Amino acid sequence: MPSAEQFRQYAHQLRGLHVDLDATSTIGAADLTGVFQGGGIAPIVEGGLRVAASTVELLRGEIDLLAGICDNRAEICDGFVEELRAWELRYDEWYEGLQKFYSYKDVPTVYAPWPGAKPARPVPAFDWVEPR
Amino acid sequence: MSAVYIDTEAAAHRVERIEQARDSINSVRGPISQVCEDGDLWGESSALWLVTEIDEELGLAADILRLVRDGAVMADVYNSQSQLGALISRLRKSIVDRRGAVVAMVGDTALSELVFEFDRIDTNGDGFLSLVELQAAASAPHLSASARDAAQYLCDNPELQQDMITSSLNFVVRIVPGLELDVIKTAIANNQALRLLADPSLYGRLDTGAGIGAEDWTISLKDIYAAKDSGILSGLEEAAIDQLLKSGEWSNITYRSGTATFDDIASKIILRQAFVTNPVAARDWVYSIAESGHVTWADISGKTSGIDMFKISDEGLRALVATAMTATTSLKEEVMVVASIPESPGGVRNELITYYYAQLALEMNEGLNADQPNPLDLSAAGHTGMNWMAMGPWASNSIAPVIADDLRAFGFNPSDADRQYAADGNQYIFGDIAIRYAIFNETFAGKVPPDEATLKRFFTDMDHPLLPGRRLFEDGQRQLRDGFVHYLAAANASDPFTRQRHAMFGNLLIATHEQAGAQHALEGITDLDAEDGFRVFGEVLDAIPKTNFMDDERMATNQMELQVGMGDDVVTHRMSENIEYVADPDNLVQRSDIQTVLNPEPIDVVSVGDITVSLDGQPADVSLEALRGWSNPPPGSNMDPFPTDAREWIEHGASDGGYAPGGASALAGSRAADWSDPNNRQAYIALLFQQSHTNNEVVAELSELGPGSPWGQRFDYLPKSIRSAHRN
Repeated sequence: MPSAEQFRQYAHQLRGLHVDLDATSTIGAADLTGVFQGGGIAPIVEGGLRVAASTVELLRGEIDLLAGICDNRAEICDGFVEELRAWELRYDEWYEGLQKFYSYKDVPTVYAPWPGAKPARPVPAFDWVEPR
Repeated sequence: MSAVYIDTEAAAHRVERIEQARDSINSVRGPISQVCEDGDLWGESSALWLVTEIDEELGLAADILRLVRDGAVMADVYNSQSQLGALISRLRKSIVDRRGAVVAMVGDTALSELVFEFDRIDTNGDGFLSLVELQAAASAPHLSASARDAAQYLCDNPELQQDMITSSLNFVVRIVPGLELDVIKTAIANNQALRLLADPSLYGRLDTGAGIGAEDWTISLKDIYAAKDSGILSGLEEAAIDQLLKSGEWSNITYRSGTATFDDIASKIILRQAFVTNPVAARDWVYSIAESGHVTWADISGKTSGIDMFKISDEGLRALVATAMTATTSLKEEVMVVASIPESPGGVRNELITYYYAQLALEMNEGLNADQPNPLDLSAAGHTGMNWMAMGPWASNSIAPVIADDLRAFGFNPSDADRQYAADGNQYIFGDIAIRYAIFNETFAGKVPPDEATLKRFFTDMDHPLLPGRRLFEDGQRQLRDGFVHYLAAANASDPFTRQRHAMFGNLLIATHEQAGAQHALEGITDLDAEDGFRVFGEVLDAIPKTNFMDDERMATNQMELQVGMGDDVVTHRMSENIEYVADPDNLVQRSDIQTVLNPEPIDVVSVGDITVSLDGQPADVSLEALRGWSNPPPGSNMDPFPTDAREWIEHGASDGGYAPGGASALAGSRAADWSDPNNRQAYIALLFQQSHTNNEVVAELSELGPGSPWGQRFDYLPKSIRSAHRN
């Protein structure tokens, strides 16, 4: 699965595709006045080109949506990484406490409390969350 | 069946462009696919499905053009069993499936849909689509939504429908119950021809290209046949001309005379809604009307008549404007569209002019008073007061009944001459000033204080956006240019009186400029015995000596009024009555002497913040050329000198009550006896502006002329994106 950084790269890459769509966006403004005279074809072909150009605008929206999803996933991945870091700290603390507990268990002059249950490793909310 | 001509080279070029677009589309497929795969994003987006759809649509369009280029039988368009017909059928399905969301069923698209669905709409099978059948089709569940919308389109546009039928009859006297299939097909072909003829360069070649006659924007049959014989037309152009000749449309365009003026061609293009399927083409054609000089404001004198409003269809004009507006990207471009279109008998353009005056006035108000908590409160301390355009909507709205032939106007029915003069004057002032107002707002918005480079660019270097080879300000426009300098001075001054005073200078200068340009139209309106081709009894009236009881200018002036505000709140100023004096403590210029303190004429250096601006070429931070103004019109401008000095207005223009500087008695002589007399008129206007300078009644209801108001509902035909962008 991609990391937060990779998701950010995807978002950037997707937004960069808008430039490639510019050539198609303008095709809807093309008319066939300089091509045909008569025949009944022009309205259909011009209409088809306008539909295509309009679909390009829908595609732009979809691309932005996709890029937004990638941004959002990057943030969720970041959040999970933070959670993992926090968990690692808690785990280290717990492990240290456990070691102390066993080390001083039989020493009457030193008291080491029981560290409690082992901290549970965070589980990613989604299966695409990569802990890197 | 209409004649068919294909420019194979142009077709091949279009195929190439479409294939390039396909390449671009397909180039995004890989990256999207990769991201979806790597990021487990399948199911999150329909992007790839859209890529496929676009590719298919473009592919079909390219394949159709290839078949046509290679000589496909054009009659097969309507035969779905043929290769061409099958492709057309598939592409049409794309349009029909996406109807409403993408392709509006208007213009040729709607006509084409009616051709395809003709047999299903012609329920009685008589070979005609009657109005009853079209109305039934508009809500028939057995038809597709596209077919229903196409039928509704014709029902909504009776002038278009009627003209298609009338044109098909030509010289044959018969009664027909509706539209025949061939009439619709011919209308589509004729619209193609009209779009080609709409190009002023083709029009110009037909006019004089064969070396016959002068450049008079009139095309006779002799011009046409000479052009055809001399080989100056492309095959496509020749086919277009042939299409109009053979279908009988040329005869209709020329009212059977064989000779077409630019007005004839333009009016047919508008009536037939030839451009309503393509916003960019519609906008560009509208602009070309101005670029080719067919607007009153292209002639600096205002003496050139506009396009004959009586030839223009109201419904066609609305459709054209709505389409062209879709392709505009700023208030300036919207103003350019309105300034370029002709007027129609219902006053469609006048309504738009009123609307855009209000928009610009509000925008200018904000621009000049950016530091004010409420720019609409003219009476607030430190406000510049009214700008010239705040009066514009009301003046424009006041002549609406004249243009639209409303009985209320002038107390009697305005003649056709009055209506055309009023429309021409309305367009001249709007086109001349509103475009520059919009550019001013765009240039200086948020730039307080402006820098020297921006000042120089706007006042000396900028080209006019619609008049090729002409600067934004040129000889003759001294008052107009200087008015804008004073507005900047007002916006950048800190002293409250100085702010109001400079705004007044700006108002008086721009009012002087516009009144000089409107002189010709006003003389036309007030001179009831003018020999202008409109008035049958001109000579008879002219022979009657003017008396107190028989003075046409005085009679017309007595009927004139300016209504400020809407509905019950309207304040009526009658030009033949003295302006009322109502003491207004917020109006710091109310009691200033208009001949000296408020007279902009002697001023030749203005401070815009810390920047000194010379108005006559003298050394300064920004030195503007000493342009000629209307007191000294440029040679060849066809203008008579017009008084620009407030001293002259009051001395020669104030009426019998006389003028005493500084007080209420100054207004005793403000009434106008003859509105066509420049000094008489200027004295009235100057004093009205002075007294109204901080009167909130002038601006309070400007928003009533905007979207969302009852009055504004008349603009429901404009695209929502345009209306929602405006101030209300």
